Amino acid sequence: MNRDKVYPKYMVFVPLIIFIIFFLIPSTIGYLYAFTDWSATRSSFDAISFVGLKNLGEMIQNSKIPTALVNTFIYAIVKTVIVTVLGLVLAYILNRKIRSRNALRVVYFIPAVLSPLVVGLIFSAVFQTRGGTVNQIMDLFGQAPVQWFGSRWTGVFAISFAEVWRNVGYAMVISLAGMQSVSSDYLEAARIDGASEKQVYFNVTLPLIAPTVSVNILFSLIYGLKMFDLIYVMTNGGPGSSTESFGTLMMNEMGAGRYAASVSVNLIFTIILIGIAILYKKLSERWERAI
Amino acid sequence: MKKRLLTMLLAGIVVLTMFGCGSKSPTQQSGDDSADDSAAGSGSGETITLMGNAADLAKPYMTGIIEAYEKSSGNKLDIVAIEQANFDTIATSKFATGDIPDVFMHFNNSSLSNYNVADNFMYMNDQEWVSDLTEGSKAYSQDSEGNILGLPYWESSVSGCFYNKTLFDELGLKPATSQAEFDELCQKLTDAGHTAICWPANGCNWMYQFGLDPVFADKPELLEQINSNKIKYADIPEVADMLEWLGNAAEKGWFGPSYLTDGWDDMSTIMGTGEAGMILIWDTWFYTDFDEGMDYTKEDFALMPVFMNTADKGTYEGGNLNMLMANKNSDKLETVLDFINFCATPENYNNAFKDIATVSVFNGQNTNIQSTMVTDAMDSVNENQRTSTAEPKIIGYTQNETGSAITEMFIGNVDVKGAIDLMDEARIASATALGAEGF
Repeated sequence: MNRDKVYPKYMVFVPLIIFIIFFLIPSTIGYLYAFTDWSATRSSFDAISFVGLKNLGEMIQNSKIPTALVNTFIYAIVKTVIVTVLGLVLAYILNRKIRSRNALRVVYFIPAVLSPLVVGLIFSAVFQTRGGTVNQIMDLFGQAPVQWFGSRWTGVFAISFAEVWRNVGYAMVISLAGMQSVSSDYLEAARIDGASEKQVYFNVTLPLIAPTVSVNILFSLIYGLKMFDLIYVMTNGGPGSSTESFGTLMMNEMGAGRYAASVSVNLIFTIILIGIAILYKKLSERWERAI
Repeated sequence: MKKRLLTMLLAGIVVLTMFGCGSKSPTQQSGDDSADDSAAGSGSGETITLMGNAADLAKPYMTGIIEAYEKSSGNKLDIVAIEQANFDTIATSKFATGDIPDVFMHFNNSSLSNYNVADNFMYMNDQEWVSDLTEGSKAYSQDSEGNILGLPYWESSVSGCFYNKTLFDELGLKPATSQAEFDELCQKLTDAGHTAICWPANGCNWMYQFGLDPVFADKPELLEQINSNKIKYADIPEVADMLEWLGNAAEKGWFGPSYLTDGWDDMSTIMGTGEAGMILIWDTWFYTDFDEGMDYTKEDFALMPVFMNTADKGTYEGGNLNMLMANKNSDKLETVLDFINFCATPENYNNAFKDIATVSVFNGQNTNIQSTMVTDAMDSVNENQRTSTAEPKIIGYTQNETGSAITEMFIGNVDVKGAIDLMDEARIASATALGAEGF
């Protein structure tokens, strides 16, 4: 079908104008500050000077950027993989006729409606060194307490764990909605043809809900890359800058009065995100075609 | 039907949980409370905002004076209490977005420059209470041109190394008078199964400035050179000495098994139970924050100098004071000044600071007490005390970024040189952003 005939070109103008006015212009103006010496003591427009690529050059050399970059990807990838897979598994289980499935759907979804601040505080208590739940359980088994927020990888693990816990219910609901929209005719036809449950799931259900899974992956990836609040509450990027993400790095630069540096980090991050978005679009199209 | 009922019940619990979670914003909690308390007043007055560090605003003399003012004036103070660990980060961001309180409470240190003092705050040189300030507190509240930036209103305490003398007696230990003795002391405490020094590395970054004070206070030329960007920390051997010592101390276990995650809230337990023998803190902390009712009380503690391999006889830090600063652009400036002047009235500050262990901030202050910890160590304090130098005087110095760099060393991400480079990187970036000459 030729889409040009269905949607006239002028239909694009309204959303395009809205996009330009409410997103493109404000964000572009915002990014211009990355090329100035805007800071706590130079906050009025008259006091700001243009400094070219100086801030970007300095931030690219900043020792915290590589750590923030790697951590941001870890948070995003770990979250995306685990949340998507667990969401699918839970949706599959709760789509079957089991007792109390409605109650279980509510229970699994509860973390998704909690504020990240609340989740952060809960998991700070769970993983804290002195009297934390995990360490108390370990103590029952004669294990020495672990400083979960005392090193990079244990800190990254604790943060990722909390983020997965918070989001898996949301992914489950989306996958469940996808599964419930699959016509039972297809499933019954496959079963009549002698397909096993595993074959039905992988060869019928999964391909039919691929667009839904794709949405799940996209959301998890975007929110994973933008992760800020949980890290801020649980570790504030520490110890040192070990668990820093781009989000906390921006906040900490802003907090140190280095506003232009903060915008520079944001600009670098945006360029990376655009690259990822283009790559994701190409890969997801290929994946959907393949299955 | 049963399932539906169960589902509805669970959904109801979720909704109730949501309401429970949203009861009060942590940053507004005190403000709400104070608003309730002020019902005793006329209730027809104005509401002004007071922003400060949550821990500082919770001090008894602060809550006391706020309550007294609200009752007396009928005005209300909306308290914006920001958590201690991220105070400057959050407060600076609020200022950047124009969310500036009517009254701002802050130390007169290098971080204050991030709040654009000249544009945002009123110089208070002509206020009546200025003549009532002691010379020390007046000097502390001035900028480099002698302008009074705010009313110094806090505890002026002595910072040093407080040790558990009862525990020391039990173990047959004596306070140190030199770096070598201090190191020996730390090892003996560790061997006896105690943490030698309570070192809450999670957010308590003031400790490092105690070590840096002697480096710059004793050699003012270093301060001048670092502030004009002629030298870096990396060019100062004493800074490397300090970090070497810190790294070794951590490696030998002198800071205990969980120092990387211990923070402000853990200090009381660590000291009160005798888990640690020493702590770098200020005397007033024992009166305002230390929980009584544990194995050891404040009477069990005594004071000796801080040893961090930068001053052989050790060092104490002189009093740091929080100031109440008036937002000169506030449309309620009259009420703001009314509140500040109320705080500075002898009768009111004497009521607020009654039995608080602090050096007098005002000439007319006479209800405060001097802690026995300080009076017992007065000779040593007089000999080795230095004014706070690192934080207020090194341009671009921030407690958080210095602490963060040193923590990177503790967890093995960088060595001593790497940590010093990180300290320099953050300091130079801040000094450049501030527009300091030479950067």
